[in-house]
Amino acid sequence: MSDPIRDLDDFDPQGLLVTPLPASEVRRRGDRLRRRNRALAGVGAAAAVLVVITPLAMFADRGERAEGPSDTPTVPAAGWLTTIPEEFPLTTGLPSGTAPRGGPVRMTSTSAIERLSFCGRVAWSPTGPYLVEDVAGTVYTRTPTEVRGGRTLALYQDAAKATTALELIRADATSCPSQEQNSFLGTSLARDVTAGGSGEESVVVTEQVLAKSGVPTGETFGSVVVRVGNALLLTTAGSPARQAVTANALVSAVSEQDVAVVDSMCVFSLEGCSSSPDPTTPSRATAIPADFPLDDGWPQGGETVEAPSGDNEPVRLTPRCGTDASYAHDPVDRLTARWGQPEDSRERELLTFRDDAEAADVSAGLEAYYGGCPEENADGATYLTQVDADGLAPGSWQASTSQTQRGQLTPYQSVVEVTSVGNAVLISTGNGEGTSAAGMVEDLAGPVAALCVFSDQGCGSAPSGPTSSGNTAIPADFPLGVDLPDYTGDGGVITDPAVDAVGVEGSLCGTDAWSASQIGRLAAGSTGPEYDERRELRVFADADGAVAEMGRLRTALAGCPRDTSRGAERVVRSYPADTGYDDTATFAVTARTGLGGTIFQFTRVGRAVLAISIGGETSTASAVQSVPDLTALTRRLTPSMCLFTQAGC
Amino acid sequence: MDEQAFDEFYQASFRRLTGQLYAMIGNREEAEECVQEAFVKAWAHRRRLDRAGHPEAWVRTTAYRLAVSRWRRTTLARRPPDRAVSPDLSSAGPSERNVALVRALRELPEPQRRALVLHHVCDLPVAEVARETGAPEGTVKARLSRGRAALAALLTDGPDLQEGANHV
Repeated sequence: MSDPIRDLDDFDPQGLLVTPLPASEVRRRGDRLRRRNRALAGVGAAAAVLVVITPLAMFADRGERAEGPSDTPTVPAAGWLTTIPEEFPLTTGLPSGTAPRGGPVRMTSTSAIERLSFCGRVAWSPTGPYLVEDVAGTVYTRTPTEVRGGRTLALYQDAAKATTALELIRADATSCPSQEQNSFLGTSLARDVTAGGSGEESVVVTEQVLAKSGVPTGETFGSVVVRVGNALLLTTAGSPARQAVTANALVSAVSEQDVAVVDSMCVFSLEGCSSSPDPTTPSRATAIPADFPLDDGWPQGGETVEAPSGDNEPVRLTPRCGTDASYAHDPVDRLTARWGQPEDSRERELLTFRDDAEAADVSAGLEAYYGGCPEENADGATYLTQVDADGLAPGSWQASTSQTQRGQLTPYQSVVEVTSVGNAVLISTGNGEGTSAAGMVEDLAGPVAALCVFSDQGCGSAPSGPTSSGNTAIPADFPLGVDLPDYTGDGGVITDPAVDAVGVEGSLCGTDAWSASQIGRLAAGSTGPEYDERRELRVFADADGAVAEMGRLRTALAGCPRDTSRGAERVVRSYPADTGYDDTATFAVTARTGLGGTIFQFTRVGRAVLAISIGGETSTASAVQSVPDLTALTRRLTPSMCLFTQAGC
Repeated sequence: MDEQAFDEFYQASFRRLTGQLYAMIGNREEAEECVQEAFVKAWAHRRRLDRAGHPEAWVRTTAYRLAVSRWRRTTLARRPPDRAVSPDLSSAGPSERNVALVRALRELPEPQRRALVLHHVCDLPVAEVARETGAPEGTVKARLSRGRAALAALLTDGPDLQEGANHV
């Protein structure tokens, strides 16, 4: 065995592989830093220095980046703008007064993003892979969600270099394992890389911080990189763990916020902005039809009824966690209706905006607002709020709030449902003992269907979403029984996959976890002493059917934080889990006191839904420990579900 | 310090300083970046560097502070994801033994780790370690003593350096 102190003494860094910059480049950067420091000192702008100079990361295994900055000044290619105009609207779309230290956000001449790095590799910095010709930045805090972010606009010598810079970001993010360990923090990151839809090309990277147990902490980061001409717009945002903003919601909010900036980047393309639409002209009709069925689905009668009208008092959403709700944009048109009786007060408001982006921004802002206040104590009561997709329309969601007094759940419920279609946002609220999350979804079917007038597709086209005319049967060799635990030696039983086998069973406040609308089914399981693992695959006629099934489950979850429908009180708790699919739900139903419970994970792939449950002597506190096991199993099985997708295998 | 002196200093000490910082923070690429950045600052502040009298110590201290501030920014300030904290890339170290050593060092409390590296890897006497870390000499000695014991226990328990050990 070696002597550790001798090893320390003999520690030989000479064997270390390093690739330092040329000394001349180090001096050049030092000189630039010196000039910048002097300039900033001269104008007293020290507070604006949010970024430190970042060394170019040229690693030995990345020889392709040798074409970096040199001592020879680059000559801008003909036609490309290499200076950012002073009037460029980099701060457009950011709420006013959201600079980190208060005051309005401002554009500075430094990058807001020090660098983008994946797996320890610097994918982008203002000095790599190419030295930018010009750079500008702005940093903001987006209250009340406390999402913090920064925008950087970087200009390159030409479009080819900007393209290469973007491709290197994509390549580094993609080549890195989807989960990245960080031993310093004792955590890891789950990463997802997708192509964005903005500008001439774009890439979106989302990262969720995972706790040691593998469960997402809720802390989320998103990076959106958009190229137009020789310019890259890099936007990063992060939300703290306690906000539990989903990666998709974060990126959606960031992307929508950037729309106007991306539009303005046309000045960096060779084509210029001559073909751009007049920004003062709304891109879609905004007037709400006079016969819009806003009150459709409400009961007849009612003590206080206000028929749909633009003259009714606007809906004022109940403040949460001491903050008033606000819309990210002012609506162009509005229609409001109310219905009420004792212990049941309902409102609906339809808002239209200048374009789809504004509407999506409003929905995302409200989702973040409710997601940012999961628990609130007020007036001697505790209010627990859960935000979930509800399946009414793509992107629609519900914030369901329950009330607890002296530890007892009261009948009071408050539900806010938001559906955004095209440039319209429908906001529905319900308060009182007669309010039900599931009931609200059912009642809204008519108004939501009528929102089609604000969509690109209009109201006469076929339903959206993938459909399939292929074989709906589940193949006999579908690996549903893979790696089922074997407790037969202890008296347990293994149930091989079969259409009539007992599968995943559960109920939430009297609502069964499954509907009966599937067209195919396969189930398997294994039981043993204090252990019960079950798997079930259900296939639906089309993707819409599977989406509706998941929406139904989420609605039941949202309305059932406590379940007393079976006598003893059971606690229902949802957990974030990265199954690799957005349409997924993980939750546990456990005895409020003592041991006993089941943890479930439902995941939709195309027109199929996979459910896995593990039951046993779990508790409210320990159920979370099963999440990584469930997620790993889901990830193992979902690749075989490709045949239920439109793209196929 | 003129250009030639700086270039010679840079070329002679870059690898050594990167190795030392790697031992302190446990991440080779992060160490290289921080040392690189510290040299940029060193040239920008070369008069201060001259006055300091120990340019290598100045760069090492600056690089170490940069590394600390990077992960402090990310972990505490909830900044945008500049991803300043890099992942574990210890496999990129110069040798299997050094990798295991760095891995063990990372298990130690930061003051002990820094004292051990400065004393044993950088060959600084206790008085110099005390000056560079701003701690009393007695404290440095205590950190060295506890650090050595902890390191020995870690490396004894771990399989990485048990060359030829038979597991029966």
